Amino acid sequence: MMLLTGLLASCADSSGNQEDTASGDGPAVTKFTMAKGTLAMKAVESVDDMNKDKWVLEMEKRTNTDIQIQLIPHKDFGEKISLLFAGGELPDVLVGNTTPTANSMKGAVEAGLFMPLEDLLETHGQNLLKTIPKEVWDSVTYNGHIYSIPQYLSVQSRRATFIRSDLLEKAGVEAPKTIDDLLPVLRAFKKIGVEQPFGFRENFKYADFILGAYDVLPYSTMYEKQGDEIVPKFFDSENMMKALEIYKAMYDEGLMAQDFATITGAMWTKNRDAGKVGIYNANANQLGTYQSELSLAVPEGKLEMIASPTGPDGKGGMMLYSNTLEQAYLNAKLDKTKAEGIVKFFDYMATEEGAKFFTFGIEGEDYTVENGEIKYNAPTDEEGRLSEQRRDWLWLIKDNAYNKEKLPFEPKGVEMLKGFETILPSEGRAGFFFTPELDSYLQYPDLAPNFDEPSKFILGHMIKMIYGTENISDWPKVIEEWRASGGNEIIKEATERYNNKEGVQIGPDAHVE
Amino acid sequence: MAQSTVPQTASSPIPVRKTPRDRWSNFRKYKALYLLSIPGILYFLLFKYVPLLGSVMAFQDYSIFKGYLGSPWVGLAHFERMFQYPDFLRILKNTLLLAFYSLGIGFPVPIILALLLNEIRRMFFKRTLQTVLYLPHFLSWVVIGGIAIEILSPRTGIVNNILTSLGFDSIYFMGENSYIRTILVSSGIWKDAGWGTIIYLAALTGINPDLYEAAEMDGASRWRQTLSITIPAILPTVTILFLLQIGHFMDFGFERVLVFLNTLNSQNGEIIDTYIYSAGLLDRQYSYTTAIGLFKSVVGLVLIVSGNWLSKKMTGEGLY
Repeated sequence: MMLLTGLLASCADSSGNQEDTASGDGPAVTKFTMAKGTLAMKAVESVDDMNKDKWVLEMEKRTNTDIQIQLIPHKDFGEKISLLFAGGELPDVLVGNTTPTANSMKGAVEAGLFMPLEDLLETHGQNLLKTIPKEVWDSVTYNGHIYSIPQYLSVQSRRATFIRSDLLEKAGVEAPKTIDDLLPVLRAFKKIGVEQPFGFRENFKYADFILGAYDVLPYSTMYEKQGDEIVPKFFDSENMMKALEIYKAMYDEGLMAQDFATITGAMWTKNRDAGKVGIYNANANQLGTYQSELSLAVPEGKLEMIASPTGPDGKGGMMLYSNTLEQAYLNAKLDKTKAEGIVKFFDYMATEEGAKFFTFGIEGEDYTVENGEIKYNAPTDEEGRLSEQRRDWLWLIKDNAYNKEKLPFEPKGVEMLKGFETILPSEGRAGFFFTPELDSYLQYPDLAPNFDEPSKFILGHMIKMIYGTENISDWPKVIEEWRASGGNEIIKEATERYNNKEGVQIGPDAHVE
Repeated sequence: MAQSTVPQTASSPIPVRKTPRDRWSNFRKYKALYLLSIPGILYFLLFKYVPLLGSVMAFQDYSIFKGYLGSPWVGLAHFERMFQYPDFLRILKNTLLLAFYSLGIGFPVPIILALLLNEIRRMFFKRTLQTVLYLPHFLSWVVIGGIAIEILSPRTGIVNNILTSLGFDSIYFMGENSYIRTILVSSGIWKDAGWGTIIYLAALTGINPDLYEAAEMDGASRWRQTLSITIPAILPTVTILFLLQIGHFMDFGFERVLVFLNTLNSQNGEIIDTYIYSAGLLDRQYSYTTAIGLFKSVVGLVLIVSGNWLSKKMTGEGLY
């Protein structure tokens, strides 16, 4: 704590100096406000004053800016964005997590709240245009205008399956290769005293490779063609019921927590870090972080990334991400010089120098160059690790799949790199999806799925079937009920959009009959 | 407030017709009081009446980007949609049931508590007990929700630990529709019952001790004294508070429900307020949820007007 205060104090000093020099000579400092989600990162949410963070100050110095960052708690991100729009007080830069065509942004974009960026990018964002792939620019283009500067993902399979390999050894079993191998492995875990062999989390978040194996993920990018209709993948009753049976077996046999439906993200994290969970899903790039946390509680604990167990068609994995994640929207009311300054600020992130700064920090302090090779002093203590994560959080415009330069320096880095290059590219599910999103979702909010959450209606039935208050064999009835309570409208709109080729996208590896 | 209501019952007020001149002199006489009331009136105008104008949203297809003037009018479409929504009746039923339970069960608890506290003779014990009873009032619902969920957890909760050590199966309290209303109502009582005793205790101190002395002389037991002196004396306070409660009948409270809700218990737990939150704020259906809110307010208004009418008929006491 003392150390932190000292750090903050010294930072405050340096910020004063910096402003002096900036106003003395050189071009004028671009001063702007930026609202950005915390992404539920401890490194960000635990900071007293983000605007005095070492990396923010250094970034400002390097880009000749003065940024006032407003943090939006990850948990209420959607709500806070709605309130920002309703209140009419938009920051200069809003870092959103959806494309301009998503329902949450579409209204604001159509109302002209954000600035079209093509011309500015042409004059001040050449590095951005060069670095970010064309398909990604396409996904942030609406009505012919580019509305945001996007992060991009070179590997769209972002979530992976992690397993405790030390428990596998202890139980004398092998990692599950197909979905049929899963239950025996979990039972073996249970036998050696693992509290939650399978790490279930509310709303099936990061607990859905089983649905993936059967290709029935009930999410917004998961539509398929059945006959002459475009329907959600959970219409495949046979496979959906098989997947639900597995969850039910896990619940009945105590292979997952008995209060599974109320395990929040925070509780899930706590159990996971305490070593109580055997197998779960996570973002692949977290392997090193989760391993470090696990090692604190269970020194002999070993975490491993495995290929997600495959289903009847020999494939598996979770939903593929779109090619972009966070992205920066510029307020339409900005004056020209300010907007240019902001585009320049993001352009720095796409330069080689910028990448090096956000990856490794400051030369001489955090890394040295010997014979043209970078020697990175990876942080070893908690505060150092958090600080490193903050630096990465600030780096908005990057390939967010993985950082090839940095990975080898991280714990488990080589393994992760291998995962990104060999495991992840060959797994993951996708389907038809709609940009802009279907209008009927607004009419029937209970039936509207999210990118990684089932609709409220479907979720309710899935949970009740696992818990045993409804019969899994009634799934076809659930589909009928779904159709009757508005689903037919959704299917109608989806099918029309498909037939007219209006904003329908076909995800890689989608099953097109 | 309590002290002033008690003596009133003794002397019945004589209605006097007032001339405008009397009113004016009244105003001059109580000038300071009228001045003092200005901030309160302004508060109500600004924060309660002006926002009422926003209700026009319910008759529009409101877009936050176009505003009241730019959004198209749609008449009663949102109300029609509300009544057609298959779950609307269920949510309305939950709202009414929860309101009814919390009024029926939650309202008498502070009165009983106050009467019990009043009987305690040791000052120190009484004070300590009172403080302990008040304390939960100062916790936020999020904290209370967290505590309750932990206590009731089937794996680590103390309730289930006791159950299993007695040989019963552990119960997933948060996962059963049948428990959620009990949990909601009882957590509300735990939080606010102690706080609610304050007004009753004040009313109790306002009772003339001579009455008790006289009763004792006549040989009345403590129980008899409670029935014949204490309860009649606090009855006006009880009526007023009851009417105020009825005014808030439909306002069960939004976050106190939200923190307990999950997929397994929302069948019985979801209320109008939580539905407005999820549909309105999260799904940006401003007009639709304003229509629901307006409907809720109308139901609340009907309840308070009829409650007041009933009370005037039965006890002669009313809010207005």
